[in-house]
Amino acid sequence: MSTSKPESEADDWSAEIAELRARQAAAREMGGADKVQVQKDKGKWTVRGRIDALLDPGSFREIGSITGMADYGPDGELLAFTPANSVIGRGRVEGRTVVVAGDDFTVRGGASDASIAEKQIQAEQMANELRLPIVRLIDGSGGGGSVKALETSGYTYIPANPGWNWATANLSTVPVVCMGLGPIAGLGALRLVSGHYTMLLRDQGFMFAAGPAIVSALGKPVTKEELGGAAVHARSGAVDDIAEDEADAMAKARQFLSYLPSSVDGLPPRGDTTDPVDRQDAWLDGAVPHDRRKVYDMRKIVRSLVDAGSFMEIGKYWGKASITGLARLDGWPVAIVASDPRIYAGGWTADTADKLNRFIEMAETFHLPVVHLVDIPGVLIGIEAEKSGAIRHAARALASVYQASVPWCSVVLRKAFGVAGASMANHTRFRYRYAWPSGDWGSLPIEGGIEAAYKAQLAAAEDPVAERAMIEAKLNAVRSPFRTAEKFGVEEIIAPRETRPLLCEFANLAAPLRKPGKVGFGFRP
Amino acid sequence: MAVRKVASEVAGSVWEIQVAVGDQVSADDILIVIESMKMELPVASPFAGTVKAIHVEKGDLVEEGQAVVDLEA
Repeated sequence: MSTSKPESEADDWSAEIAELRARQAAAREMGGADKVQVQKDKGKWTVRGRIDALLDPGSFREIGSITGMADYGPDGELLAFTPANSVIGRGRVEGRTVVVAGDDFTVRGGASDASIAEKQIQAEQMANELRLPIVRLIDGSGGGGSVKALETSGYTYIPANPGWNWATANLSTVPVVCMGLGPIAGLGALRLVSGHYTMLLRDQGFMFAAGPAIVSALGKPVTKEELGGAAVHARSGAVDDIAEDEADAMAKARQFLSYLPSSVDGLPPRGDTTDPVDRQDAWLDGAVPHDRRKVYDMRKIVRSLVDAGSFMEIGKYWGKASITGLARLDGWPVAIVASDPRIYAGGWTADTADKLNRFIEMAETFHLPVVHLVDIPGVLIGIEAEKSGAIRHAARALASVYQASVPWCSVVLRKAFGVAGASMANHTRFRYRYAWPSGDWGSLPIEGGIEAAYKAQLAAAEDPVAERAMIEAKLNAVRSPFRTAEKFGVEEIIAPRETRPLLCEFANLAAPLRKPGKVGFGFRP
Repeated sequence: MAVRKVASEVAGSVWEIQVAVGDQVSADDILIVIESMKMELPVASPFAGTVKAIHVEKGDLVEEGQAVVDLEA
């Protein structure tokens, strides 16, 4: 016998449902009209505006929609309500579900004393267990709030970073995109830099371990721009990119995610392309100058080789001797590494090697085949380079190259010298490699090595300048890359314009070789 | 009009100065050439403007990030 009542006699929960709706509506007011206006007057978007802009229209499913701090009257009636300053949930980006976790600066400046820490923890855990990318919209101070909090807590504590087990695990599990959209310190700073693609908003995003008030008190006054502006940290490598405005930040996040699988258990999705695989740009044949002292525009070459409009550079403002970014070849997402001869001739500085290491770890984590366009004269030389420990940083990048298992293709455009030049690929794998006729390689560049190698001969010469020129001419005669190719020391020399068709062929051969799952080494910030 | 300092991205020595004070330049024009790693590395103009000052001479050693030219937009 059924215990349910007929519909006409059903219990009435409409009052409770109305209260739920009223509480949800109150939470959507964020910090209140005045605080929201202050946020807008600064030229900033609200957290809910950001979430709407990031996600496909109408797709946001909030979790914890009525969390906050409430004041009750003597009879338990709700007097006032302040929402938690963290808004979390799921939504879609180009139809694929992602987790979003946004700070609400209009509530207590995003400080932790107005947060409910468990929301952020659950957002990270949700991303990890549901295997979904997570986007952090960071706009707030730190985890510790202010020392004033001691008055209310009545005790102090040993710090712990909430949810950090999940945040760390996510780096090796799901794509993590982080935007710094306001003043950020402490835990917020840690959350910002701990991602695969991180950015600061120009003129609005600032990040520091401690802000200008504290730092100025220690000595010379500094502004927040000088201390932790977007230009400072895009240059320091603390973040990957500068967002020009909020719309740009959301667009960049959506574009970045388009190259990646939802998690390591998937594969990078093939995109649409109308760019013919056999397109050959004739100007490439003249892109590299014959004069080895002259530079050329590597970014222009990259854009010509990949599917039209598909190159997204990551880390443009730091580690500049190498260009890194995501792109598509015949629709297949690939990781592009390309030397920039304009910066130390493409020689590896410590920060260039750091950038490469981090980028290759990301490519390995998310099963992106790597295309390396090589013009590397070596690890940077000189006193400053030695002081920076460039060789150890280079060794770390080299370890990533040798540990990587993703399909890998190198194209030598010009130089490959020394241990950094040898890092173009793991040479013990099948050498999927091409070289342009401008290829120039060896243990040492001839220009720099003659004085050391022919010291006695030059010292004994009547005319050392003429002697040096004679030696250089003799050595240059054997420098032709065709002599290397005769010995199969380089597998195939190609006309530069043939590069795109060959790289598209590589991408198609690589696609079925990509293996989903966790990889041998995890990604670290 | 804002005057901005244009810095060398690399450490090296000044190989060639391609502009003079008062010159009008376009974005991406080469201002100074630095010799580093046996190559001629350009310091290009980040925007169109007028050269207000040149802080280096041919042969000078420059450090990474050192201002070499003042440019007025």
